Amino acid sequence: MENNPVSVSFLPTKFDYADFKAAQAKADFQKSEQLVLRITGAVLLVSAVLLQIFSFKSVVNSILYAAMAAAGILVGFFHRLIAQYMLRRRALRYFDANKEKFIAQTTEFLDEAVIFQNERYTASIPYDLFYRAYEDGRVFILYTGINEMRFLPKRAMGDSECVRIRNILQTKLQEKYQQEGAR
Amino acid sequence: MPTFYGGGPIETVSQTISSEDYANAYYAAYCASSPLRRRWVRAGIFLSAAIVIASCIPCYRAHFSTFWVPCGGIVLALAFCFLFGFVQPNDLKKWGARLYRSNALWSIPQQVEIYRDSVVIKNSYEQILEYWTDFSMCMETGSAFIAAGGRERELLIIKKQDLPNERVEAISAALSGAFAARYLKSGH
Repeated sequence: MENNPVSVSFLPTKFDYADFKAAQAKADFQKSEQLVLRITGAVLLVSAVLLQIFSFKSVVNSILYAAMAAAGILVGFFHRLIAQYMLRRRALRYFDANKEKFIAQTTEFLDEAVIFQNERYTASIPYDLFYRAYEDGRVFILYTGINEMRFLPKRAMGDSECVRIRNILQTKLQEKYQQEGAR
Repeated sequence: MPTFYGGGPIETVSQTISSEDYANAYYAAYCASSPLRRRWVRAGIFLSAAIVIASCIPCYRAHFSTFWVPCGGIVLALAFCFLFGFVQPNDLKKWGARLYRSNALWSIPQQVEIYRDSVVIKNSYEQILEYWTDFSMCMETGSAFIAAGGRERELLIIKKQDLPNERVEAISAALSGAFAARYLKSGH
């Protein structure tokens, strides 16, 4: 790690907040949940096809089976996309209704701790006290607990700072650091 | 972190929150957030449903020869009654304890400074300023003051344990004044 600390200052925008909520949902999404949704979707799709082939054919039945197949495709293969879209919409609405809650903040990555600073919150938290960290293409999320976290939008940092933060988190948090869809 | 009102804090409390304190506060805040989330309200709804279904059995028997369907309904309603009355509260407390364990900052000794308009929470790693207006509600139980919905930290817990009665009353008066209609008192 280089000696000078990495410092990121930003005022969250509504798109930052939407990116954060989307990333948080991705981080929380369990593989078992995805498997269950995939299987449910596949069962719906296969059942619709089999019913269409083997059951009594009528216009109403065909429409029902087509709707069943469409539901299967949506649940099985596009659930993530739909969930992300709805989460982002909700986050944008929340931001618009609660703008005053989003204030400027500075985060500094030192050798032994991360410093968070805004007008309400000042902290110097050692790396070993973090619960986990998550990175996707747009944000870093630092968790101090399951339900307590802080995010850093990547638009507030340069490429070199982004790489340095990633290296710090990889080194300090090891298996507690998770990366998805980031280059 | 200066607060809007000058002067010293109304009360300063030094405490360490345990897993049990957090789990109880989490459950109390969950129940207080809506009447429909209360244990006996939910259980009561399903118990009432079971009684209503049972009272319909004579009417059902007038049309059908068996009464297995309403019996099934009664069993289902009683199962939900048991679930909401006895299983879910423990599960919520277990989840609260898990949230506590996941956040190492909760177990560190802290100092809570109560001001007229705000609260400052300090521990060896962080200092948090929350205004009372940030919280959605505050409740006073037999063992603690619990404010929920904070901006930086979801729950604020001020334990009554080891505090003399005069100090508890001073905190109670300050919080009931600050929260007004959002202040609930229970567990006495």
